[in-house]
Amino acid sequence: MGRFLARRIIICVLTVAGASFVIFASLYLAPGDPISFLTAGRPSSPELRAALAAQYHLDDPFLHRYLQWITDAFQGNFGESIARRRPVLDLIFANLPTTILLVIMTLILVVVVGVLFGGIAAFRRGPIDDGIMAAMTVSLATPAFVSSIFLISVFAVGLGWFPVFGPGTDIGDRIHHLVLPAVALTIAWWPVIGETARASMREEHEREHVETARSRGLTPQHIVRRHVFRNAAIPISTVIGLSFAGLVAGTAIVESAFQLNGLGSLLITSVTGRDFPVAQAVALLLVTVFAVTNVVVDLLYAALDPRVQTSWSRK
Amino acid sequence: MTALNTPIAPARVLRTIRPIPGLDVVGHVAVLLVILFACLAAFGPLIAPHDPNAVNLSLSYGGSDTEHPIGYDQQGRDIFSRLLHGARSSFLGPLIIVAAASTAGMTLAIVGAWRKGWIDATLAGILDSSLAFPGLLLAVMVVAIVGPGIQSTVIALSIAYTPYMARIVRSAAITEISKDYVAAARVQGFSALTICVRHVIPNIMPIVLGQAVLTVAWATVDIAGLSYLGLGIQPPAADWGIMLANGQTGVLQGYPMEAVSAGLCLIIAICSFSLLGERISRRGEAIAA
Repeated sequence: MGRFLARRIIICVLTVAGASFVIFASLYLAPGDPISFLTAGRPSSPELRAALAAQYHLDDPFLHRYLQWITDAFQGNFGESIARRRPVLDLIFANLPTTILLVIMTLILVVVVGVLFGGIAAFRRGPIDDGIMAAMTVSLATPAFVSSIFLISVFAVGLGWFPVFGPGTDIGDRIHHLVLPAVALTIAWWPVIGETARASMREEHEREHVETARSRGLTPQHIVRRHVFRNAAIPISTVIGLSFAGLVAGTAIVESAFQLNGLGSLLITSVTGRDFPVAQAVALLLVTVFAVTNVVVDLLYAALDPRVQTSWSRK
Repeated sequence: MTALNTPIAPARVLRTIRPIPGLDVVGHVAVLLVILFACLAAFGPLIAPHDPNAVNLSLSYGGSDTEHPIGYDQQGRDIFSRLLHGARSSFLGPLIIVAAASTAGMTLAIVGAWRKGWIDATLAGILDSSLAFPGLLLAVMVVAIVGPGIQSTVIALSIAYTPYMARIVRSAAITEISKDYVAAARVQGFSALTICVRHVIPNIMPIVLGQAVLTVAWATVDIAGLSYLGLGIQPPAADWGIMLANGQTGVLQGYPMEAVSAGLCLIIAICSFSLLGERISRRGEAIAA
């Protein structure tokens, strides 16, 4: 276990280090000199050019620049946005609440819908199972931006139940604004949980210990709760962890579709608006979240299930 | 000349089309749809009845008529013709991504599985950690540097999908290479390249093919998403992702046809590719076991 833990953490650190280096070095892969790339054709005063040279330590050797940048980043100093003339960290903090709320709402929906329908499909063979499986296939094949537009068309424009755009003001209003985006993400992600829930519950249901419980005359409800669900919870929680990481990356497109002020839409607007420091900072943040989640999931998996093979060659 | 004059009975043609053994009804529907989309991508622009970029503002959001079955978009362009043209641009990118990622992933995986030792461990480590980097994020970062466009996003997504392909091929190749016939061929003095190209690759091909078809589905989602965000294919090109972005304006004004038709095309295409990919993969695994 100790070696496994160390190995996973080393891989995580290496991933973040590698990804951060790529994100950092990408500035120098761009055609032209860094300052004209950063200002992207905007009129630039000598002061701005000097500020950018200082922010990116352009007068220092290359590796030194990287170390400076990554040290600054871990101290929360991501420099200043070129388009908005504000510290990047301020922008990130301004956009963080929407993304966090959206991810939490989506996770709750995905887990409830996925486990519920996965469970029903596991125990009700025949047409109900087939129907749920078909729904999962279609749902999984519906990209979140397509379902976003369909949802806007029906529930915001047609029925007028939900606002079309924007993040909302107070907390109740915010949740109201985030219902459709969360549903759009849920449509794309619930089959991932649902398929695992169905497969693992069905597998547990056919195991000998369940057979024994049944022969002892325990009620079906008791068997499902105490014997099937508890064991099936291990693979289900692993997949929940993995979907969390994917969800964080997937929010970008839904936030853009609903014009929300989240981290993902901040990344997209900074890319289309050629605001490189912001794009760099958000990309670094997302990659770190992704890598850390993967490690936490692996460790949780190993902690929950002592049988797990603690080597990287697992499937 | 007699052969040419003999009419071919439709029933005779139908009889030559036989069901594929071991494939269920859903799988057959998926095969037919995949063939249909392939034909659309190849010939769609040729059979499109109208110019997809012919603007006529007086027909903005015009309803359907006999010549324009789905109606007009905001700029008065024929939606049906734009859908047909869009099939090509929506599948061309994913096809290149799959070809590139399959070739690169297969080469890396087989070299690793054959050489074993530190080469395999290093490759597996790199591939494992690059799985943590979401493909969409990589593509967005590439666009941040070189600017929006289909070429940069296709290159980025090819790199992003390589580890997924390599991971699946690697485990299949390890099983295949450990089989007795490979050892026997080695003893007979065949070179590593010959054994891999003549025996190992053909035997793991069903698994590669299944994964490749699945990758078409995912890459189609990604490319359409990037085009929707304005980072991939650029307007005024007819593309399903761009049509969704344009159609969103129509949705807000109560004209959802453009967005709905492009969205349905995407959903049906992704559905059929993933259903078919899953079935090929399952069969490949059954053969390998």
